[in-house]
Amino acid sequence: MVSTNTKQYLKPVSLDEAWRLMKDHGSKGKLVGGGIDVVLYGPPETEALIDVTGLGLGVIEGGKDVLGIGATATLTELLEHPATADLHSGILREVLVCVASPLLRNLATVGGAVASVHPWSDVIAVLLSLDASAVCYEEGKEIEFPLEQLLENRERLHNTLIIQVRLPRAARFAAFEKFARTGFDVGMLNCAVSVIPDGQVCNTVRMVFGGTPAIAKRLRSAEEHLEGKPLTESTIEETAQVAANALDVRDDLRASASYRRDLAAVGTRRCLKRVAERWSAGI
Amino acid sequence: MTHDHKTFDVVGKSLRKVDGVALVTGKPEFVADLQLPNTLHVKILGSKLAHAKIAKLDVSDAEAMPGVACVLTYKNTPPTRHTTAGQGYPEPSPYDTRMFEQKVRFIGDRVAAVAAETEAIAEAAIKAIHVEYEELPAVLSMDEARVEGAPVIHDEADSTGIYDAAHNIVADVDIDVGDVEKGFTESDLIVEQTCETQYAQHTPIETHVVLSYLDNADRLVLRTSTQVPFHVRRIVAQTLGIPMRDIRVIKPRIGGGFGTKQEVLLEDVAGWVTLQTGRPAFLSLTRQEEFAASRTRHPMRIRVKLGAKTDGRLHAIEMEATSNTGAYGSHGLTVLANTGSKTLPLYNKAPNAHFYGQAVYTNLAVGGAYRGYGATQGYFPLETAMDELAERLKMDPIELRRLNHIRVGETSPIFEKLGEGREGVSQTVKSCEMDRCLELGAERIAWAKKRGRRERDGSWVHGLGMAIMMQGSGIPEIDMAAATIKMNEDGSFNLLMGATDLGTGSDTILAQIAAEVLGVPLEKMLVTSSDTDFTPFDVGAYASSTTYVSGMAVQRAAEKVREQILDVAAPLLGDAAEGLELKHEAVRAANGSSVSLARVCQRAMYESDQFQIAATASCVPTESPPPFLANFAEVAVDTETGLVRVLHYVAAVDCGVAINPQLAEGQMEGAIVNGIGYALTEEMVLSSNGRVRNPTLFDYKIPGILDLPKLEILLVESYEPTGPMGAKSVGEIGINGPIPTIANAIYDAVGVRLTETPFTPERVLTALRSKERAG
Amino acid sequence: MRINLNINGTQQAFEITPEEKLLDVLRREGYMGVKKGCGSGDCGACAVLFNGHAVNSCLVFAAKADGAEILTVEGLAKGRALHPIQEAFLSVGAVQCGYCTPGMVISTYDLLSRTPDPSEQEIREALSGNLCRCTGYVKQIEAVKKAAALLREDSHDA
Repeated sequence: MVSTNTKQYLKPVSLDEAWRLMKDHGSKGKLVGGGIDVVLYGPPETEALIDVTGLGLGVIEGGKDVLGIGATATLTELLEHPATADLHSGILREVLVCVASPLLRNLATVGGAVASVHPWSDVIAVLLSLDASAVCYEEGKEIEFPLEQLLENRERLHNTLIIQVRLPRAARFAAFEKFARTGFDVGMLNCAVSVIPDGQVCNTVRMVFGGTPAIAKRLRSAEEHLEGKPLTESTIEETAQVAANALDVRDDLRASASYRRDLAAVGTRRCLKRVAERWSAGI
Repeated sequence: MTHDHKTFDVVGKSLRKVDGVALVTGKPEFVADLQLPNTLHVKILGSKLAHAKIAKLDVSDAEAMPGVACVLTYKNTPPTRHTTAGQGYPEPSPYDTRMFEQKVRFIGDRVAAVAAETEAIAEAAIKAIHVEYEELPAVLSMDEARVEGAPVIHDEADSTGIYDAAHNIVADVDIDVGDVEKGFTESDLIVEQTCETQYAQHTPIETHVVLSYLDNADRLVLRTSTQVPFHVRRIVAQTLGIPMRDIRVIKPRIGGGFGTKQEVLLEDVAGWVTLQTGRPAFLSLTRQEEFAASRTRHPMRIRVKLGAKTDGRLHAIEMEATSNTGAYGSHGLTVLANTGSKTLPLYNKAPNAHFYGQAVYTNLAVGGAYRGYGATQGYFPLETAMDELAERLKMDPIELRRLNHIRVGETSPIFEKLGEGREGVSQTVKSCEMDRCLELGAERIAWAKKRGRRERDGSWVHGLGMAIMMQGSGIPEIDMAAATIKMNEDGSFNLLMGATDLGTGSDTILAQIAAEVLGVPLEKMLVTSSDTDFTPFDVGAYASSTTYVSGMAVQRAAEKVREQILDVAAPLLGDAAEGLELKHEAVRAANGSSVSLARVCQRAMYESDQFQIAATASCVPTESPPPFLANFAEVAVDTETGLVRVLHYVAAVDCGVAINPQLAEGQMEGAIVNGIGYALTEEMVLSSNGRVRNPTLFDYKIPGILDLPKLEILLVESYEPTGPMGAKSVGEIGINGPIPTIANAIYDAVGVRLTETPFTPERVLTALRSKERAG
Repeated sequence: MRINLNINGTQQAFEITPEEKLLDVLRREGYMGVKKGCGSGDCGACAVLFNGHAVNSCLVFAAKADGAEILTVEGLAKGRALHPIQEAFLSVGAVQCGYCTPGMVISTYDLLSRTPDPSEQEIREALSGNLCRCTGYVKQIEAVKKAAALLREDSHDA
């Protein structure tokens, strides 16, 4: 938790100013979107809070090829935006409705959800499954990274300013499953899947598991298993077994590793069945 | 049972709570809402080890910090052993607690306290306290506690009331009726069930909190979130070594209690700070401290063995309970005793019964009072064993209950043998609508249609379960409640009661009782409760005593006041007092003439033979008439993940006459949803060294609104002749229902009997797999 | 540092420190209707309306509230006339200890300002972040339905 060491609450009005403040304060400065993670987990050494919600980064724009989500758009704004309604089977809405609560979604930003790298994050899981990229601002330049890559580079992640998350439009069918203990809970496991069909077979399969209890990651062995195959009961079942066997799972207070393995199989099966249904219905 | 149930004017109506407007408009009604100038903020340093001596304690850095007013340790506070349990004196809990001492017995146990100008300074000073521990081997489970050679948790010479401290046994109970071993040999069928229940916490949305200050007469005022203001006064006086008359305890609105506030947890520390510094002191537990260092449900292991005849009649019942009371013994004996005393009498006709068990110390979080108070744990094995018995007998579980449950006119020898730690009080049941509860509940859940069908819906299988229970209404011959009513010359009345409204609405229902007797609408009763200076004694809100015991005190006080009113009115109406009645704010004669209450009081106040129309009355109950509850649930079990969803829950309850049906429903709804959490999702997880790993609402999951099933409460009224207006109680019983009812429903759905709570998806799936493997 | 904000229709200015949370500042300035239940966004007792959206005030840096419009439960009633949401909660018996009530009322206000005729599922989702231990939520769902009806009546009359 931040403490009385915090001497300044800063509200830069340009990207440049924000960047300079980040450089000046280094690890003693923390970016504030909604601020939830800084309030809860900001270290006591924090001296400066740098609020980035005044930089005009809250815009969500549904373009022809890309859905651009401003980093300081709130999860509620993303959930309610007309552009999310039919993107990829309406998956964003489906996921966001089970993330946290409206009270938290009204405050939490998309950029914050990414930058906080919570292992239980449903948002990161679904974004990865949709091949999201993140646009970062550094030294006056905007650089786009595949989200997966950015998340693996923690050094960069903690020293960059995310300004936008981008989702490429594609003829994708997506599904999501979250296994939680109550309705307002993080998952014991979450599972985000998308498939771009090529004729009758799967092309570009994305299978993401989060809360394993590690942070959401693509499980390539499962993806490769399904790649180039049609979605049938047997390919779904096989993929579920591959996923369950390959997934790196651990015990924690929410669930045991072996139970997570069971859930991985169930989650894969359910997601792929739903994808198959949406594919054949064309939604 | 039909009775001459007269039509009430105020009782039996779902009137709005007297404090409702203040609560819904956010008025500053809670402890923390009163902010006094010059207040010190108090923080507690909790132990990092489960069992240790404090070898060195250096608070000099903390004391020297600017803004720190004082630091409390065992070196500068009174050493008086007491119990923190808010119970009647002499408390049936051991005196095993000191404000601070040179030993710690669980992670989070008090080491020291700091009072400072701000919370931030207090927190910083806490960090500046240097403690060196001499770690001791710890007892980290019930089973380890009694082993010969186990570490002795309470090895101090000055503790009293512990059954066998050398073996960590706080309490031992053993009562029997008939000869249970012989009974089992005479039985045609035997069913045995051993169940384990977990550490759970009450999670009131307002944590424990107190504000202490000196009034202008230098008396210590404790404005505290408590269920037991009078016990607080007495125990704080005892602990701090000051006269009781120098203490005033005020309970304002509080944010839930559920038993965890039937405890004197913070008031001694805050009070001592105020006495030492002369300044107000504010102490509030963080949510983490609320989990780890306040009070919890007692985890228990309970074995039930039933012996029955082929016709289904129970012939022998045995219940053996081991209760983990944690590092201190508050409520240890009484919760243990209640496990048997509130369960076994339900099946009173078994001629042989045996209840025995022990409550043991461990170096873990401390068990205390929690709604249901042992009965909640006890009904788990009892009602699941009954379910199994019904199956073996090929009898409908409802029929088995009908055959065996206690009825009007009957008694149970257990009533007399087992009370609150000591012997109980013999009684005969005078009101019981259990059969009607069973009938209505079964119909509402569509029992006959759905039970045993195992209806499938994808991977979900449906099942139905039921369970019955009783509780009590107050503690006979021990609890005492009193009320004072005084009249004002506009025809309104002040009602002063010690009785403690936790949000339950007792201020309202007690006022309804008084208003009914006095013939006035509710608004004419001005309620003041729970202030030890102004309201007469009441043990406080626990044991489901408020409606039955405090209600009777209120009814009696109102009746005395009525007599006085009639005496004053009689000459005004030219009629003898006997022929008059109070109705619609006036004294009315049979011939139609009347005089208003305002007029009566004016006369008594100002005109003739002046006196204050007022009376105080008390009630000590001589029995504890049980409310009765029949629970029915439809669940769906996801056979792929083990997730259990409660789809439909019906609770048919006989609480006597419901003084305020809406509030009675509210009590049931809240208790059942809490019970569902206890059954399915709530679990305090402990690390291997005894630390609570999930002391947050993020990690410890209580039901939220998304988890609410279709929940129906059926108030099946009876008329309890010994109760005020025919009422019994309703505060606790609901929480006992969900565990056994859901367990039985899961069995109906998927054929597995779970014996460990909570029924997490993982546990259910594991049980399903085992069953499949067993073929 | 100083913040200027509008609370319940009145412009206010407060001195705050950079790390302070809105919950603590509001309570310090006398808005006792905003309750603290956990300090970590898990219970919703501290919910206030912040620029038209209900948020956990324990998670909001007070400095963020500079220039904001805040609504707390104290801002709903007009004198003695209860807001329809308050009236509904009271009349169906959805208030027991009352500690979670202000947060529930604010979440309800947020919901009904956007969705005047919510389904039961929408009601549950809107209140999913408000924990209650007393009521079991049954009467709170009824209260929101009733409040919605009262508000629709009001808007027809208006």
